[in-house]
Amino acid sequence: MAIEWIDAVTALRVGIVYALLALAYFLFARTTDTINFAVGGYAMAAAMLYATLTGGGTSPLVAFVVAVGLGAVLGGMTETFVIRPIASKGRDEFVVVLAITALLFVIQQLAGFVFGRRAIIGEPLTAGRVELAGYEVSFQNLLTIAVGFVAAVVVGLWIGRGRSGRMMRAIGDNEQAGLTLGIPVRRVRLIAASVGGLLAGLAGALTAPQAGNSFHSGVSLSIVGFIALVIGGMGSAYAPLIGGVLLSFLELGTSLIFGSTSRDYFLLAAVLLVFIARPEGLFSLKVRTT
Amino acid sequence: MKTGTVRSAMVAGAALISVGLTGCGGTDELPGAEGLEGDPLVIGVIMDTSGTASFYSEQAVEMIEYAAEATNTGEFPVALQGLFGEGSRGILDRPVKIVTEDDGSDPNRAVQAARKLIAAGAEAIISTSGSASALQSRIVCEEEKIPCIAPYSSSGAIVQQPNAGYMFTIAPNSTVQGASFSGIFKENGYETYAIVGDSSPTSAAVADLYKAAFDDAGLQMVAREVVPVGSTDATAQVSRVRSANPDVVFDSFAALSEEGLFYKSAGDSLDGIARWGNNGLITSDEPAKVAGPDIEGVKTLDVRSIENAYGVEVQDAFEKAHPDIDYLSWTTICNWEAFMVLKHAFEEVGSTDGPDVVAEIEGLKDFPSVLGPPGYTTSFSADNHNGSSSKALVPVVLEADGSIALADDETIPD
Repeated sequence: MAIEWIDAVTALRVGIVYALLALAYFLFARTTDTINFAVGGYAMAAAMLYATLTGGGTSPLVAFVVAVGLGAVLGGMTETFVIRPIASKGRDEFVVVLAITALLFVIQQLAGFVFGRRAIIGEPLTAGRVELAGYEVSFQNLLTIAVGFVAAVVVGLWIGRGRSGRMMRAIGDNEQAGLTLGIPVRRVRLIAASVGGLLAGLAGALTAPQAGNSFHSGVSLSIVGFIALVIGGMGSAYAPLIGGVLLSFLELGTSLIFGSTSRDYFLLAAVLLVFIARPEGLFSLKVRTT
Repeated sequence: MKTGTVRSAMVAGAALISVGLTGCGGTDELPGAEGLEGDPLVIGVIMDTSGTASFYSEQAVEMIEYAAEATNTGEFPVALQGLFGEGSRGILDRPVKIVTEDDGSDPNRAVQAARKLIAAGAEAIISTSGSASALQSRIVCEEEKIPCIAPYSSSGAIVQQPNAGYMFTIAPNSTVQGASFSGIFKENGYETYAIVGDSSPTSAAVADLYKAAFDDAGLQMVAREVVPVGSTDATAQVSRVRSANPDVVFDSFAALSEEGLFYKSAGDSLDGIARWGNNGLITSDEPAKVAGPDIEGVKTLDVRSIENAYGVEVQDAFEKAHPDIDYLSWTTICNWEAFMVLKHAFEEVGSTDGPDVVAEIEGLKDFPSVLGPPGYTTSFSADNHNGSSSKALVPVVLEADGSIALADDETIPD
């Protein structure tokens, strides 16, 4: 089975979407100490909104902005109405994860109710194709890679160098100490959750013209984002980006070489390998304690 | 209002909405039953409002309700007027009541749903949910001796013993379809095939059944590929199919969106290879919408024929009663047939006695059918609880806009 360079473009395009989902997980985990399995739900809702709006004649650009905004709103609402209230009562993290998982299913059912129960596909943000080395590549694919990559880098810079990004890291390391230092913890958590939701919404809006979007696809999006996070780790804001791209290359490569029926075995093996060899992911977090 | 109160109200509201979305219920209204006396005869319907079968299940329930209303009012199509006699209304002169239970296409919930329907007085159950659910609920039918019909369930296992004594199906199942596809492929001179499906258990099971049928027919499989549910790309699967260079690629998808994704990813790269799909392809417009113009030329087998006046009459009247429906699934019309089979059996027996009604259905021969070409009829026997044959199937081809046209160049060998 010959592998062509164009397959790498496909893997990169899919991997960028995985990376955005993983980065959304990362933001929630770093600030709220929560693995937010609802991020796939945000992406699904954004994708369905984008597809519905463009199907109804709305400009793709307007639909894109609105869909990404929906992700941000859902992320912020999750922090405000689910994570913070439960955490403030001193409940175990397990309770928060349980509530978030329930939220994912509520989002799915609401999406099915609002957008319908049939898969829908959105109009591309930009039409047309360009010929590159004998292959036709759609502008939408190139745009997905570019926008996703830029978003991941911008968020990485924000976390690493931005004022609120640094505060976010401080809260993630020790929320109590952050409070003592006067950091507006609630506001920073809300910003981080909204940005996390925005990234998931971005993943959904970029995916919407590529494949069918249905109300029950939130779970699968949550799973791939989580696996990308597991592979990449939490050591840096760029770790989810690398995790997502690696995951996608692994998926496509094993499918091409060994057949798609064996893909899941290789994925499982890879995840187990990461758990055994580097349970913290490829990039681990280093916190200064002195 | 305090924040805590607002939050509590929102949580309660969300809970109510989610219960409303996933819950179950029946109706106390009996449309068209004015003037009919006696206790309503209850037909239970297992439906899916929230799972993967929800699109066609909801349409199926609408068809069953439509059939119940037509039965209560006594307004039958020409093909049935002679069968039921003039002035026939309701079932056994009793008004018909439809009661529904939602199982979300979850086989575990299907058992509970069947029991709830029987507790609500159901004398028969129609399962509009997925095949896996029908496989589970049939056990309850057997235990409670209640006639059950899963009109369009494709799995041949549903009507295979054990536990199939009270379960019937209407549309051609995968066993019948497998033989029909094999016949067409042999007729066309195909020797090799690739099979592509999705990662759902239903698709895997259906793929196995078709593979067995193709292998029995002497065809050689050169590739088997799976598109994981939730994928956003299927180029790897397309590449492998293309490099295997089969005479025909057959899709066994159960996940309709992924089915469309496969053809979208294929684009024109499978030109020169015949493309056939199982009839999930026309269960909904999802595959065609997702694939776009790349769906053009893909063939499948439909159970509807524009030449079947009875079928067309029922479809047209149903669509007129439901102008909001923008895509009529082939599965929908099978529910009309299921309902009429039950009415006929109850009335021939003269009671709602389950074993007698089942024996009556088993003896049913040449029942007028909305399926297939003109003259096609439904027949059952004690050994065959699938009332169809390959003669119900009509080869069709999808156009670039997703519309369905007769595939005039294809015939199903006898």
